[in-house]
Amino acid sequence: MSRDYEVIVGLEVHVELKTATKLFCGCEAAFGADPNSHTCPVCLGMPGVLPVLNREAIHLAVRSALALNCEVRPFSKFDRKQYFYPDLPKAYQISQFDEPLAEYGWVTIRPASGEGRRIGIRRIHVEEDAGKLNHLGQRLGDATGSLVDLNRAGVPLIEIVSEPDLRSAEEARLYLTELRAILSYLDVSDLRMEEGSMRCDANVSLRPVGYEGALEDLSRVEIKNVNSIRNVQRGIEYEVERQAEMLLRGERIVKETRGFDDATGRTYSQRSKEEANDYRYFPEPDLPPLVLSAEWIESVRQALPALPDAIREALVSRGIPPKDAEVLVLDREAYQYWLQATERFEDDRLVTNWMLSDVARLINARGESYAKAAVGPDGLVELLELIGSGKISGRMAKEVLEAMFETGKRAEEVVKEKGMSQITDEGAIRSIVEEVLKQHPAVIQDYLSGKEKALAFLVGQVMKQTRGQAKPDLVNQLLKDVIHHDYNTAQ
Amino acid sequence: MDLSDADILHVARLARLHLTPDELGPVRADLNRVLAYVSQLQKLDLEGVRPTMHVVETHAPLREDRPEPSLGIAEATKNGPVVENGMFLVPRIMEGGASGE
Ligand SMILES: [Zn+2]
Repeated sequence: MSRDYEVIVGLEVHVELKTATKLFCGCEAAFGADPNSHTCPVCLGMPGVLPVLNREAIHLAVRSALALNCEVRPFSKFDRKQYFYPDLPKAYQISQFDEPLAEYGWVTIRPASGEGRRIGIRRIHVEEDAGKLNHLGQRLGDATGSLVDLNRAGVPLIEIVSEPDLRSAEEARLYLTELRAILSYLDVSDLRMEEGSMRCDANVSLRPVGYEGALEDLSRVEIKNVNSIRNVQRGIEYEVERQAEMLLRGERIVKETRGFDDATGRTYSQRSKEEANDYRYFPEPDLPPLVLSAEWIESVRQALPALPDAIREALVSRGIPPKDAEVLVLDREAYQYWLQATERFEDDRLVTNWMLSDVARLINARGESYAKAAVGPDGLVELLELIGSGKISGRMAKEVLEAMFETGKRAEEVVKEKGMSQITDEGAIRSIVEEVLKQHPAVIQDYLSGKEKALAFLVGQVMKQTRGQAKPDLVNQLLKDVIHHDYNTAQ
Repeated sequence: MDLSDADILHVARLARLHLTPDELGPVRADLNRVLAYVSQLQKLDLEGVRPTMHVVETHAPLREDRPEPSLGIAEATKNGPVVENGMFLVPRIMEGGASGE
């Protein structure tokens, strides 16, 4: 099959902002409360009430916009987007249409092959979330009815709309991964895709080679509400294949909204977009324009934390291999764990190696995260100090770390309980034995000529090197072995 | 500008209004009269005039992000015709109903 088309993808990402209250009322915005316990006349859509903007929501939105290199408009306005659906009690959503909060930003992605590439952000606007529907039945199609919970109605969202700059499913994955990393350092959202605090819609179209019309005129398919970055990637992959086959058969691609089925990896038609969308936006009469001063915007910019690009650079300049740095950067909790550990322990690379191999393996196996790991950065540092002081070998430390995760005990305690306070690791002792023998050739001759006392001297030297912690009978045995193997035949 | 029957039916559908064939004519006549009246505005020269977004020259006051008591589930759902497990029960949703975000 000839690929005589180019993949065009644009993403719309909705992010719930981490505020204490909703966008327009004082109801709590927290996830997981009893249905409808966080509702009031404003978010229930009662007549005669007035929305009042939440300062913190605007602050978090502007913080996000600045970190994503956007220009924040000093003057933006709110509009009503109108549609009927049971999760929307007012029958309109307060959003921003033609004068959004921020525009013209970008995110840099780094494809494995080639240079970093800027993906444009067309706009970021502020809007309210809708409520949640619980369908009675397996699927919406055969549900007998739906139960409406309006706790989420009115929770502040930002919608981040990319330019159609992405050229593959893999680029979409990179964009979302980087976007999520940036937002995680800003601490503006929980970013849990499975709980819906971050949601993604993907617009996918194919541009035939030689096509000279506008991108907007290509038939575009929107994949709605996909619940993980991996599934966004799978959905786009499937959609590209599906559309390519249609083009090959000479069929017309219908502009429509499609859902993604996690089980089959396929997208399916939901409704035809051509007729459905007629939102009749008009300016929200209940909210005056939002006016932000240049000084205030600047103060938000000044308070931005270190962002992934700066952190990458800092890590690499401290000698962390770029590949390892990437793993740390993309997981804010891992990076914070690393920061705390390296503050107390001077060998950055050793910390990194232990984290990305053994600590990561145990955390994954136990379903923990770096922030809630049974062994925190202090615990890891204590373990590394035991290795550094020669009390235990690296190999023993792996066993100690596992026990620390299981029992929650400190490294020293585990070592004591397991009777590891002496070095029983044969490899570790053997290298010390070899070192001692190299330094005392005359004593070896004494021993070989029959002086049993010479051996006791050598044992003493090894014990001194290991600060008395090597297992004596093992030292004895190893000394004899090495002398007979390496020195006896030379005679 | 004159609205056709098709325009009227489209607008009625968006507003969930069910017009009988008898009502179509009068509604069309009324709406056309309203549009004709409003269209006088087209005669104004608005070159360089910023659109009026809001009738009062003010800007949005901002509220502190402090929780206030909600209504409580019983009070909040009191107006619901059918309530189950503290939630509003709505009839099955037809495919093709407009949704959005
Ligand atoms: Zn409320």
